[in-house]
Amino acid sequence: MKMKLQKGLNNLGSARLIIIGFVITLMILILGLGLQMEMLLSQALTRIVMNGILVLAMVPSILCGVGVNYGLPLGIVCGLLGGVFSLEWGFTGMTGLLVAMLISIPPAVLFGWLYGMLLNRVKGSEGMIATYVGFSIVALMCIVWLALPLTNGDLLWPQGDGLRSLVVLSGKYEKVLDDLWSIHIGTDLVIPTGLLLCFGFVCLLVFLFLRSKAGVMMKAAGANPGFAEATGICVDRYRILGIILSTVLGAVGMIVYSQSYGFYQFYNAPLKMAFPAVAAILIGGASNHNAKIFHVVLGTILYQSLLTFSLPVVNSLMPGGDVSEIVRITVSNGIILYALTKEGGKA
Amino acid sequence: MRRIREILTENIVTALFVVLCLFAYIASKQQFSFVLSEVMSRLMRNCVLVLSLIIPVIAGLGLNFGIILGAMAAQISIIVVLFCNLQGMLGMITCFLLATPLSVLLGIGMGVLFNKAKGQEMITGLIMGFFANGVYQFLLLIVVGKVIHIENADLIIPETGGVKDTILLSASMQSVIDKLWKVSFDRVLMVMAACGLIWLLYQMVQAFRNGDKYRAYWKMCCGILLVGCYGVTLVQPSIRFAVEYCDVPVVSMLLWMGVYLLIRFLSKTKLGQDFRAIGQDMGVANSAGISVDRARITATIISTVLASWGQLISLQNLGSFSTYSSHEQVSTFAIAALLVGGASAKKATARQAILGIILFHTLFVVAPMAGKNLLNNATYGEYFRTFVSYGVIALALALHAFSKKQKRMS
Repeated sequence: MKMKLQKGLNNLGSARLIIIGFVITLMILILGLGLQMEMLLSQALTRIVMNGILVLAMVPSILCGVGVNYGLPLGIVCGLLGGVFSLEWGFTGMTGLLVAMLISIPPAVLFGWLYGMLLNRVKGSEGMIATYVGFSIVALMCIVWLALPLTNGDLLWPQGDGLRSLVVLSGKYEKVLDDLWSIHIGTDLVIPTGLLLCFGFVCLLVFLFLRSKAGVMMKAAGANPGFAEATGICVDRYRILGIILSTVLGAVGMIVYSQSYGFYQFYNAPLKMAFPAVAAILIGGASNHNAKIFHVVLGTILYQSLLTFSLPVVNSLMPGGDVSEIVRITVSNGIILYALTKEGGKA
Repeated sequence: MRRIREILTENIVTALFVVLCLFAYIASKQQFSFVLSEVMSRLMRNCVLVLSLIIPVIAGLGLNFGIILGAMAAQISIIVVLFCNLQGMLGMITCFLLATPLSVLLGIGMGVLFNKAKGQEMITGLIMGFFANGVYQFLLLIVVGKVIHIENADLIIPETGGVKDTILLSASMQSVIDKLWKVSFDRVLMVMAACGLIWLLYQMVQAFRNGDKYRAYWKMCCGILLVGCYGVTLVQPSIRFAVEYCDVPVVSMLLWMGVYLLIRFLSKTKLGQDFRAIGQDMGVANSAGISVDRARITATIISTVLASWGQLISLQNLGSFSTYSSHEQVSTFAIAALLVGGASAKKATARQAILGIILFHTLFVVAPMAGKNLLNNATYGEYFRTFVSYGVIALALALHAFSKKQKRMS
């Protein structure tokens, strides 16, 4: 028993133990400061699950050998595109959400395919190129948002042209998943059952895919490209498959995220959205070569609860001043930086 | 013919950009004088920042996305100087004196990190910039105000005590360096043409003495071309007007020329040779007895310090800055400009930097008007130029990786 515990702790690694310890300290501090724990818990839960799929999008790209997908904005803009058309054609409720997802998948497959082909040509320096491909696509989509021939007044600026930078989803499909079969415990603690089920379902799909023949071959291609090529696996094709999957998950994840958040954010908003997702999966124990769904779940739980819990504590210790953004930037980039220096040390 | 094709494929980014610039310039229908003076002032403003990227490239660190840290050091020192109420030239010199040690410290920290993440320096620098941005905001919004209390109506937001969003230098340090000595551009051109002619003549005579006739004729052709170009600026009315209309801040120009000479001088010294050896092959350099880690840290320090100077020069020219966002785009724009000039993550020269700034900023100046004329909305042009600055980095890095892979295959 003791051995098992020891082994489990070793598997977690010191960095994760420190962060777990930090989150627990924050929770104790919150109780000590007399802040409302229930509301924070349900807030944290919602944020964990709404970000989950975006983090899950990292798994296929890591396993197929590309590494963490800094080009996630590519998938995100596809999700936004689906969202725009679902709203333009006036779909609401669960249908609206599903239509948005359905519309977003074909462009995500197309973009992912092209992007995968590009990444196959630049093996070895994917990280930087992926980041800047993501940035450029966000800037390019800014032009598209401005130019889309839309007619729905809810989507357009009252005067002037182009899409609004923030489209409100209330009355359309805000929180349709969150409120589906949601369970209220006490006054403030809400469990978003629908959202949880949705995340679980997508995780299950990815899990099944990774156990399927294609998934196993993709993992082999990512783990040891030379060996895989020798056994007759077309490595490049499986890398493209992984990237397509990652992009599609990014698109779907963005729609799920937005319905929970209550807004679609356009223009420059998706620019840096890849970094929190990268940070979350790295905190969960993934590396640039290996990732499991467990890492996604643990990482998202740790990362999002760290952010949710640290905020009221910092605010009550130092009232006034907008700290949330600062905490978010420092934590997520600090984690990525730590992972980068650790990996470089090994090489 | 084959040689021309080779040159074109090697400089495809620059060639594409020249075409793009010409197209956007024609579409924008703007006065040549306006474009020239805008590009000139942007060249003076950004040159040192772009030049600060060159040393890390030589030392094999790639494009230093961490120059943002230098820019932050510059902004912090300006805020401190304004708080101390130092004005004019004295204030500016104090800024330089403060920013230098601060950026040396930051450079050391960043260099250590780069050594821990060998092979991943660019992405580490980028993330480092984002991380430092968080720390910077924490310092200026939370530490100033919550921990240190400062009373200064020009600098501090009264409600929260943090540093204000926009900081004006108009009353203190606006263009103190630029104002020292301004000369109209035609004079500068005259001096430059004269110097160039003398230099070419000298080289021609040298070549004749060495018996290298082709070289001598080539230099003579260059000289005639130079005189011809200069002649055009005197004769063609719109160019002549533009050249007379445009002012050049001589001291800023001398400053960046100084930095340029410093970089050239550095690459001739022992340190510079070490950098080049490391850039070629880290393992070989190490076994040749060069202490690789130290030299890489030195390169990062030089780059960060130059970046902080560059940001100071640029901010005194602009006359105001937004505390929490002026530095954010510094590395993107500087790197995009350098890459447009034909540099890559492995090779960069000062000449490419200057060509790159001219091309990149020409597009920046004309893109909004081109967007307005072509699509009836200036915002298109603005988004387009953001797209171009990100896209050019992606494209140049991808092309570089692509050619590297092809070379390895062959």
